[in-house]
Amino acid sequence: MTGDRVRFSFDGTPMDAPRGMTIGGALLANGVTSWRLTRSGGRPRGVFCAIGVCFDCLVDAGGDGPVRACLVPVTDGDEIRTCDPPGMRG
Amino acid sequence: MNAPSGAGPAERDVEVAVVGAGPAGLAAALAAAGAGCSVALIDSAQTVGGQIYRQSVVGSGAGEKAFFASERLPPRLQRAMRHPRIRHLAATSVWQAAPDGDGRFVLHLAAQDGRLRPATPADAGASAGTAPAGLRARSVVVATGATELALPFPGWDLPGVTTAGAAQALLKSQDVTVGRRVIVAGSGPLLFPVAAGLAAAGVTVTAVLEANQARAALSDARQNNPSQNNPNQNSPSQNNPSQNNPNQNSPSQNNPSQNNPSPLRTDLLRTSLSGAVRLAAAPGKLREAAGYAATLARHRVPVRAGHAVVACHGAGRVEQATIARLDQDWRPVPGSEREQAVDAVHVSFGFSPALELARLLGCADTQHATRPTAAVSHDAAQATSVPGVFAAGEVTGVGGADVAELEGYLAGASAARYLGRPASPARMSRLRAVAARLARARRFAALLDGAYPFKAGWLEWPAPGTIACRCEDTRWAEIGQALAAGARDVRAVKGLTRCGMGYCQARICGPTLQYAVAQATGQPLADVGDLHTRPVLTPVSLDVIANGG
Repeated sequence: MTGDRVRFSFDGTPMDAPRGMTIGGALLANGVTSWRLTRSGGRPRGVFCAIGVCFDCLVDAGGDGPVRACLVPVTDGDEIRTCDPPGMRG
Repeated sequence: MNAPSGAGPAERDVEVAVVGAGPAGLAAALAAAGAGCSVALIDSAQTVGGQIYRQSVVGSGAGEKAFFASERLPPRLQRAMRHPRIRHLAATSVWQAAPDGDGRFVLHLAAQDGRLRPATPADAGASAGTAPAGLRARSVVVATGATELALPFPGWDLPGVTTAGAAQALLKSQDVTVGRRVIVAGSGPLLFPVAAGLAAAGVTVTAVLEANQARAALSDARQNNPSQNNPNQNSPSQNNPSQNNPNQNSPSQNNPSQNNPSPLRTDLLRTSLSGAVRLAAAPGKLREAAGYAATLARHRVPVRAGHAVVACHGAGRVEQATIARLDQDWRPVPGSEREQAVDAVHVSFGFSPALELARLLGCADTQHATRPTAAVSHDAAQATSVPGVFAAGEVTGVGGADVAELEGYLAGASAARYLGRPASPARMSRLRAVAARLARARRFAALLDGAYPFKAGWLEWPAPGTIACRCEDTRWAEIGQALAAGARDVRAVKGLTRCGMGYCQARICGPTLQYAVAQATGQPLADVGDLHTRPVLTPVSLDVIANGG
């Protein structure tokens, strides 16, 4: 892999994307369109506004809390997971 | 007002804080810095430019084709990135702002989502690569832009349904597309550039759907612009034969133009430009629109007025869209529905000024008469109702990039003058020229606003089970139940249903809730309240609040 791309995984599946891409862009580029379930209805969510306004695209990027996939760049070794922690389900 | 006293401003003191680095914010920063002020330019994105001048983060690619000349950050604004008195705080949100009682404003800052890293070398000055927790400014320019209006319909929360702006942002900055076979639908001048960009990038755009009828929109535009009423002045419209012959109009709305290589000649282009072509002052806008139209025609993208996507279907993502013909009030015409197989739908119904920071600072705003939006009130110098706070760009009313940039120059110069740094005679003369150009740009914006009226018939699109609040899973029927239980304003409905209580803090559902409550209760939009006022502007973790300056 050249330095122009980063490797990451989504729910355990290895993926790669151009360096600089957001997590949301990288998931879409890999054919993934949803990565969160809503708190009370468990409905799938992905990118909706893509500019950090709607929070639909919240994703578990391995940090302390969910992040907006449309804003946060994907980095080498990221273990991205579907965002469905118990605390987020009502 | 004087510059900060003492030997020099403290490390985290600036004279002018500009919030938002789109065309308005960049222009404001340049004008204030040009007058000698120290400026902090704060933006939540990694790169400057805002939405209109969104820059690629992955270098050149197919997405580059999505950029039309008018969408590239002009060199005159790029200068803001090299100005020694402008400090750019990228990937940084203002989550709280207040006067400090001593003539300054304290802005509390947070890095985006606790993980974003500043992207430009200019940010290295911030300690350890992270934004400072706060800064003090003697003047604030609010240039926070606007967010897209999205209206609910069954299936609008399926993955693959995005705002039109999202499709554009993903293409421009990420070089990715959500779908390969898509519909761009809604109302307003954004639909064309989004559809043209997608088509140029190789996406099959099966339809561009504008909710307004070509003719209805036109007559509304005339009503809003009485000087345009004289048919004898409509010489450019002679290029549009159907406009002079009312009998040709209604059939053309039914006419699927899928096989017409240049559908724009007949329908939407006329809607958006019939008034504008009379404005000799906006030749650049005409070239811009003609460029989008040519791209859509080249890719044989059908454009239909008086149509909308009224439902989306699919298992886990959108697979099919229901298109309906609309009457002039946007009510679906029974029996006109038909299905189209798509893997993405991009919707937009105009913009809502992002008022949150302005509200927090106490700036007065004005409710739009017919749209569920409000805009920051300001005088000719872009001064808001709060001394020391100025506003520029879409937050003062949606007018496009030209209006935003021109307002930005005025706002930055006004902030400098407020701080005792008046413009030089040469600069004053340039500002007068800016004001004159601004007047022309605003006339064009007013024409566009009138050409795309917002109609109540969309209230018939949602089904009882349709999601109203994407964050809290509130169903459309629950809003009706709250109203039946006696709720008369948006806060009462919010309290009863949780609509607007989620992560996005009502940025998506707030306007639609305001509109629905006003219509259901027969009250003016201004009387039912809205959900733009928030004590904390963006979700932050408790440790940010605990440590925030």
